[in-house]
Amino acid sequence: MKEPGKDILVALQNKWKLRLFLEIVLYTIGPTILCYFLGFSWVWTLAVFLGLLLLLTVIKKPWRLTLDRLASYIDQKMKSVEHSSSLLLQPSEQLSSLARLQSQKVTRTLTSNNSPILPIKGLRRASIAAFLCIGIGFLFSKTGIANSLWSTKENPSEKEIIHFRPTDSLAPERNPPTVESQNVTISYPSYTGKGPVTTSNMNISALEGSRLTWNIKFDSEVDSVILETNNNSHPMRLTDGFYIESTTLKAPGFYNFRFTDRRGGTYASDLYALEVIRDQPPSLEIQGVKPFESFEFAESKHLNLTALINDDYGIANAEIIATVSKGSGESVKFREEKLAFDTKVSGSKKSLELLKKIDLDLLEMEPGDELYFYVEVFDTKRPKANSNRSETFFAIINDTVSNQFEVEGTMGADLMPDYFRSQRQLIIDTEKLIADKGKLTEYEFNSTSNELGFDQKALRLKYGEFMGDEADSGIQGGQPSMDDDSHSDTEDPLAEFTHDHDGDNEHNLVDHEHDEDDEEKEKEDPLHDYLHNHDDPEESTLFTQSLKSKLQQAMAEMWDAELHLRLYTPGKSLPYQYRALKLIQEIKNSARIYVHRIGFDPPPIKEEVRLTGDIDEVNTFQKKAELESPPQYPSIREAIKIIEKLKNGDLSISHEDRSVFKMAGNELAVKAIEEPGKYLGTLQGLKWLTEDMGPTKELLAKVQSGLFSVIPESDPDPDKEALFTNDLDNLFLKELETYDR
Amino acid sequence: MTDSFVFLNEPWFWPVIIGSVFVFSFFVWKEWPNSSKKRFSIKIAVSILTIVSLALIALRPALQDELETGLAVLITEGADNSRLDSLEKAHKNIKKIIYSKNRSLQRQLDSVSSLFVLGHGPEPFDLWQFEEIPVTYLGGEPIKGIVKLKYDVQNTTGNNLKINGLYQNPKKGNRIVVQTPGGAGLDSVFLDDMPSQRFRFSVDLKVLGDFVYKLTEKDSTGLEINSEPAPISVVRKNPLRIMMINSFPTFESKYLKNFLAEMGHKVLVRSQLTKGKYKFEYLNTERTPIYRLSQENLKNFDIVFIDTDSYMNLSSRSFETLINAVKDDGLGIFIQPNTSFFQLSESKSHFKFDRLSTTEVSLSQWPKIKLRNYPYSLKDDFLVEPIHVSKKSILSALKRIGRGRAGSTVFQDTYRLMLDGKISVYRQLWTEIIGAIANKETISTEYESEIMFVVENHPFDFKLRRSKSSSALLGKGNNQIPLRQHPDFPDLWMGTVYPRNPGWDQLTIASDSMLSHNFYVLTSNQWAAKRIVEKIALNKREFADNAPKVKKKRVFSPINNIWFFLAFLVAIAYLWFEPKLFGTL
Repeated sequence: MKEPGKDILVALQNKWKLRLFLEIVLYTIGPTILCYFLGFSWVWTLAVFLGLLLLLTVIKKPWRLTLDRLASYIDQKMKSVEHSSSLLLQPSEQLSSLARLQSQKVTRTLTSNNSPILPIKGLRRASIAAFLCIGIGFLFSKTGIANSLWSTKENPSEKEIIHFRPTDSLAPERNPPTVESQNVTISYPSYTGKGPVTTSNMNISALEGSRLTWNIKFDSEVDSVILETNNNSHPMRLTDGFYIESTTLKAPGFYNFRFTDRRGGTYASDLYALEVIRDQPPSLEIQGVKPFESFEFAESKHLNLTALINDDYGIANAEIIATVSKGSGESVKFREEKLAFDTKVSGSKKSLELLKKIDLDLLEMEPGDELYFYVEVFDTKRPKANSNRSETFFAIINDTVSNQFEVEGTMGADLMPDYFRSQRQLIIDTEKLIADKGKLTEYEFNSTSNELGFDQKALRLKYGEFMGDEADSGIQGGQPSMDDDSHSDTEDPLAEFTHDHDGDNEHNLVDHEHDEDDEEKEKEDPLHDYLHNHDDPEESTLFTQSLKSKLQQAMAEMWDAELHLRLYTPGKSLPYQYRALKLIQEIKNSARIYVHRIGFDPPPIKEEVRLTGDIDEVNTFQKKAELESPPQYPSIREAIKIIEKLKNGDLSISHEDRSVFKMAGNELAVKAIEEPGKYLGTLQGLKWLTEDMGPTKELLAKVQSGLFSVIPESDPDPDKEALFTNDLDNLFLKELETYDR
Repeated sequence: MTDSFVFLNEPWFWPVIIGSVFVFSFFVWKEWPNSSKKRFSIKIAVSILTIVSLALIALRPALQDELETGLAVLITEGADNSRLDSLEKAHKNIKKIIYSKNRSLQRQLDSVSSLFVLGHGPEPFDLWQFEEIPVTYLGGEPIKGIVKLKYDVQNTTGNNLKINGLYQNPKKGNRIVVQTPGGAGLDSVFLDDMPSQRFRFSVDLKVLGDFVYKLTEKDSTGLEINSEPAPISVVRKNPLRIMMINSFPTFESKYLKNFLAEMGHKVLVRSQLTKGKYKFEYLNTERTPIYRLSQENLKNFDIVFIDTDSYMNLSSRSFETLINAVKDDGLGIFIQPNTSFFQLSESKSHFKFDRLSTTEVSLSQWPKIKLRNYPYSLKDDFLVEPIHVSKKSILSALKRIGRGRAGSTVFQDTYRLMLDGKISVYRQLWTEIIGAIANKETISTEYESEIMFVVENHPFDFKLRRSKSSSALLGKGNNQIPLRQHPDFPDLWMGTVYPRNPGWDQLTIASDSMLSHNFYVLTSNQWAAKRIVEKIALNKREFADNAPKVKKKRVFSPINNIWFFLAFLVAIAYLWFEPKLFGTL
């Protein structure tokens, strides 16, 4: 009897089983493809596929999906079947009438049901996993990570295997020994803290001082194996079937292997590069301090500095070298101290951030003292550590007493009076006063402004003296030394009572002003000894004129500046002060030229002895020199020529050719050490040409173009052209000449 | 009777006419009694047709026709088929001759009075066969590839060789690469979409010897399409012998002297210390002081640098000696200018000057580099050859004086280029000036040829100029090569060799192996495009004024008898069937 309900269930069961299988396959396919992308061999890939398939099948057990389980699943999943789907599994004859009714209802429900009953989640998950695996695999293979995974493996890739070629073309053995295993162990110097690295790649690039150990094993017995470096050959020791040689890496170069087989045939390998990586000195960066810092005595005098240090292998030590200088001039004293950072330098870290707080008071610094310091770092390199130092930083505690007025520029003698405030100083003070206005009481402000006004007056009077103005009253009391000056030339009632030391310098200046006035009368120039003179008489009058008018102008500006200072409006006075400063600056500059004018007069030339010098001892002088530089790379040039001949000839290399190739190889090696990537192939080729083997045209062409690239571009150089001339040409030239007339 | 229509059997004309009339009369007599009127007239018409046909068969009428004779077309390599077709259409009985190299065509050309040449044309060595015949050269398929190439095969070391060429029908995206003998690329040019493209390469010749560089065409993917050899023979440079006469040492002379000495030239510098006392510097040369100029000691120099002061202070005798050395021995003199140089008379300075407003110029070679100059330029004049020109003003020039040259410049303080680090500009500048002015080396033997590349087993015609007595000329394998002397120029000899093997070959004078000439022999498939174009040019030149003379012959071609026969057959058939079909019987 037909049982539609059961048929539906069977169909569902089949569908579910199919889905389970699909799920298994998807879960398997993903990792398999990933393995393929990662570069596993096909055997492994197949094994992964089969293994996963088996494993998942065992886990999922699709055969366990019976109709009973399906029925109970449907009971759970669908409320509408009212836990009666198992009724469908029983033959209807055995059911009670009620059960039969129920089973018919279930059948109807199932038939009319449109929503999916079976779980789809597993399948979805499986397909996501598969896609994920494939995507990752694809990315890996695209980015080359897959390749790098394999490069660490012991098995040397096909490219890395040392290939030996017989150096003698006469008797090549039928089955020459080949390399079975090869590796080189790079033991880094102990200070780096790096473990040894073993690689099968024979082109070595390692840190200076590393120990290199080669292990070569041949598949059959050989007589001896030699490791050839630039100029030496090291026989390799045979230990447990391995040929071993080790050396310490000091300088870059090339090497190759050479072995002799049992029958006496020799074989040589390709050239390999030895590249030396130098241990870089640590890098250093100082933050938090300015190159130059000054402190007032009263304020707290701290420097907070941060040093950022990096090194490629490790930092051994870092310290601050501080020098304190006391005093000035000849009495200066230096004291050097090494300061440790607040942060401890421990271990051999590659990167450090060190802090230091320098308290100038702790260094027993006083006003006027200066501190110079720099940071020095050492890395862990042995035997001699690399070091690096920072630039020098300055810190100064300002001296409250000393205040110097200096004449700018390069005047031989300091002619400027040094005991009154300069215009620049006045400007700075005025600006400070304006800035501090809020902090000061009105009285303080006004009195400071007034004082500045007084200073401005003093300055004006001082400059007035240059002009020959009478010194005003009012400052005599304050500035006794000025008093000296103004009256030194005339009558000084106090002269006998004053003990004048300061006026000397001033004296000169005023005198000098007199010079200017009556230049002709003055025979002797008091400044003569101080001056380095290049006379320029053209500009004398012109200059004096402008100097005077400028001074007058400057004094007028100073007048106005003083006025506003006295009126307690320092702000208004500032523009006048600036103008005055500018004018004074110009005067100072012209003063320099002014000094030139009054300087040295060359002794007059005696016309009668002119050009009558004794030239008896002047003799014809002969000099011989060979400046021609020999051509660079003579052997390489010769080799290029020989190769061209060989290419067009019968490819047989003579003994002389070989020696030229050998010399060319030596010339090239120098270049190749600098750029092994570019010239190694050519050097290799040249080496083969020096061996007793018939070269191929391809090899010759490769070596030749490599050698061509070594030779530098030639400089332009005039050439003597060769020309054939005959009588006809000469006749023609003669004719031409007649027409030129 | 018209000219265009004749009877071939004209003698039979009257008998046939009479016979026809007789037959016709008989026919009318026979048919008259027993026919209706309508049938009779048709029968008469048909019988006339029958008789006329018969008569014409006998008389053989012919029409006049014009025929071209002695016309032939020579089909050579690269012939265009469509062209051949149209040629055959235009000239009906044109004779086709297929050309093959080095084979006599005399038999086929015997009857030919006019010849068309299709394709790239016959080889130059076969052209003699067509000397007697007027030929029209029609050309062939367009040629693709490097069709023109110009460079010096013979060079000296350190030269910057310029290779100029023309590529016909280039393909866009391809490029031409100039390669070293080993195959490394030196320079390349991309081809564009145009009928023909010029290109220019420069090759620095660094190594002595005979080399075969390559010009290789590559497609956009870098695949080699075609590679042609560019043989270059590089010989050692001859050092110049230079004298510098200075009244006092200058930076200009110092730098120039150092530059020349470093390049290996033999330099003698004489700077005056005081009256009669000099400082002599011998750079790369022997100690031979020169106090007084004589034509004899000037023979040891190729170029003399002399500053204006020394030049002006030369005694008239020294001046004369110097100029005579220039005139007779080909010496070059370079007058180092100062401001007074431009005031000198033309007879002294050899140049005329124009005032220039600028004191800084730049040359087109180095547009960004400013060169200082005196505010003058040299005037272009008879026998003046400019060396450096900027914006039409001549900055350095030479003037030919007899066999030699005198030169000068308006450049000032060129050593500043050195100080600015523009060393190569400085060197190039002076290389050009010195190279132009210095005495040339007189050689006793010179080879000349119009053929740039010789092809194996092809004739290589060359000219040999030699001033010295004749000694045998030897080819490869020391076999003597016969030479012909030119009847008018005794120093000009001509010869031909047929090199057998591709590669470098040599001609040597038996008495002096130094006087040899290296030339490169191509295989017959190298530089095909270039050689074809040369062949075409040669053909065109050869056949330029040979306009074809087409001879036309008047012939009478008989009208085919078949037409008359058919007409006769139809008519007689009617006459035979008519009584049986429509007959009243």
